[in-house]
Amino acid sequence: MRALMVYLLRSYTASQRYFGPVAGTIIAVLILYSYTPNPVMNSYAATAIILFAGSAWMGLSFLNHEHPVQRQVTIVQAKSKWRYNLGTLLTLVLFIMLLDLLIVIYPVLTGHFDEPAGLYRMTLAFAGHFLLGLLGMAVSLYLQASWVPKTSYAAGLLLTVLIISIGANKMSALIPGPFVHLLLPPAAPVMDVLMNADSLPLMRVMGAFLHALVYIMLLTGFYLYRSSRMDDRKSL
Amino acid sequence: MTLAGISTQRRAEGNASPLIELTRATKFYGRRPVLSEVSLLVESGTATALIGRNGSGKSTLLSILAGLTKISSGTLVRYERRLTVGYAPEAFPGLKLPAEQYLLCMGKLAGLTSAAAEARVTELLEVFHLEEFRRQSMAGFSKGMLQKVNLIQSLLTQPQLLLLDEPMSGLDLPAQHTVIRLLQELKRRGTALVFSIHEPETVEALADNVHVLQAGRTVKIIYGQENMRVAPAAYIVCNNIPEQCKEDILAMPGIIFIHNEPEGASGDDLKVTIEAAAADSYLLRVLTAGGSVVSVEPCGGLSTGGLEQWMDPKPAKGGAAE
Repeated sequence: MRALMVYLLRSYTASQRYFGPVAGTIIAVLILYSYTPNPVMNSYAATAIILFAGSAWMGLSFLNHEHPVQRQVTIVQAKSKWRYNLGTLLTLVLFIMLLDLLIVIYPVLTGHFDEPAGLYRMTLAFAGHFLLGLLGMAVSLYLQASWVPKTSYAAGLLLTVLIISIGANKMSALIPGPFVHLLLPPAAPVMDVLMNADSLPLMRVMGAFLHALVYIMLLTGFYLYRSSRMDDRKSL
Repeated sequence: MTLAGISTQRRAEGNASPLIELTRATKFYGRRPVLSEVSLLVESGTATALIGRNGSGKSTLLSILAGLTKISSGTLVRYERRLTVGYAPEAFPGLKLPAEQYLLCMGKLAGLTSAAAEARVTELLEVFHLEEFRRQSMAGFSKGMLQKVNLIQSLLTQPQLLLLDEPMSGLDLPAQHTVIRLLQELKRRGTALVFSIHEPETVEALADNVHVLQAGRTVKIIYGQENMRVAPAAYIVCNNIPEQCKEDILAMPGIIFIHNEPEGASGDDLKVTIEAAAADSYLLRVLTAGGSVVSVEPCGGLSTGGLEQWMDPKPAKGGAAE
């Protein structure tokens, strides 16, 4: 698995497709912190949403960076399609974790907060960012070129899903039905609990995190199951 | 002869063991059939050539054997649980990675240690005359250079099954000879080769049997190298040759293949496949040595059902496989 991840990291960095999503995420975070001082958890909630969008974009660019013919070669060399798919997911998780760490530590190190963040709030922020990063990645899995061949459709769908996810609270209020808030990607609930983490009980925060975690696991689990059964063709 | 019959015969001749068996495999892309009821048995140490026009289903068949494409109906049996497969697809892309870095990654991914991968990559880059380009990005490589890198990645380990989609595409003549030599060596060591090809000479140099595909169907299977020779040849059986003359006779030019008798078989028949142009001299030499000619049969050649006519098969009546 390590060899596969090293190859995918090299291949992705050589393709330079990482530049757009990584630069976009970093620039958005820098703009957010261009005013000082900032409230701790409100800022973390905002940067978590930025990472959600950035991870979805990065996921799409990462999953599409490999030429379909080379993808066939990599799958055969990796000896199993399941192993290959798992390797791509783990590589993306590594990228997201790195960005998460940077985004959470940056304002603390540069003194952009109005008060000390503290270990508890930083831990919550790290977990919240990580979950929203994974959620963005999980959404992008279903929009890669082998699932949605037309790039313009994939981009449009991604944008729609991101908007719906961020505005999920409003959406579930507008759409009748008891399970709407459970079906929509839970970016808004995580953002809410991060924003109000200082006043909410820990169990409530954990509940929102667990909701996101189950959602991510279901999306990635179904993706792994389904993609291992799909044909890998040299043209899409 | 049936696949099972051929398999039994081959196993009796050597140590070939079955690796993959495809039975009445059909593949649809959407509603379009790209393969229809194709059967194929792949055994260790054998080479199977897939020939036919573009779009006849050769690449799809290779992709199925590589495990990249699922069949829509029929059965695919892998006799080895952990079958190691090498695969060189057609139209290898010009990646932005340097050739050496890419090949090292593929070697490690295939399970080689760093040192083994480095040694093997260096060896193959030298064999294919790519050592001076090893640190260059493959994005600037020519078609032939990319094909060499493609073949190298498939040859990094010694796979049990090697699948090559038009391996000679874009290669210069010396590189083609190198590939043939490497593949012959791999075959000798027990690797099963399955390759799609448009060059009859390569088929002749490597293949033990040929599957002719047309519109997704197997229209003919040619078994045995002597039946696919491009140059006209003759299969001659003689006997009563004095022992002291046999060595001289077998050293004559033009002999393509000497058919050894199975161990324990009786009789002193000498069976050879010989180029048609050398057949007269051979027969004369046998007769002057006091031998008798039992039979002379033409085999291969363009006029006698050889290979080249199947490179561009005409529409078959009913498309039945032989």
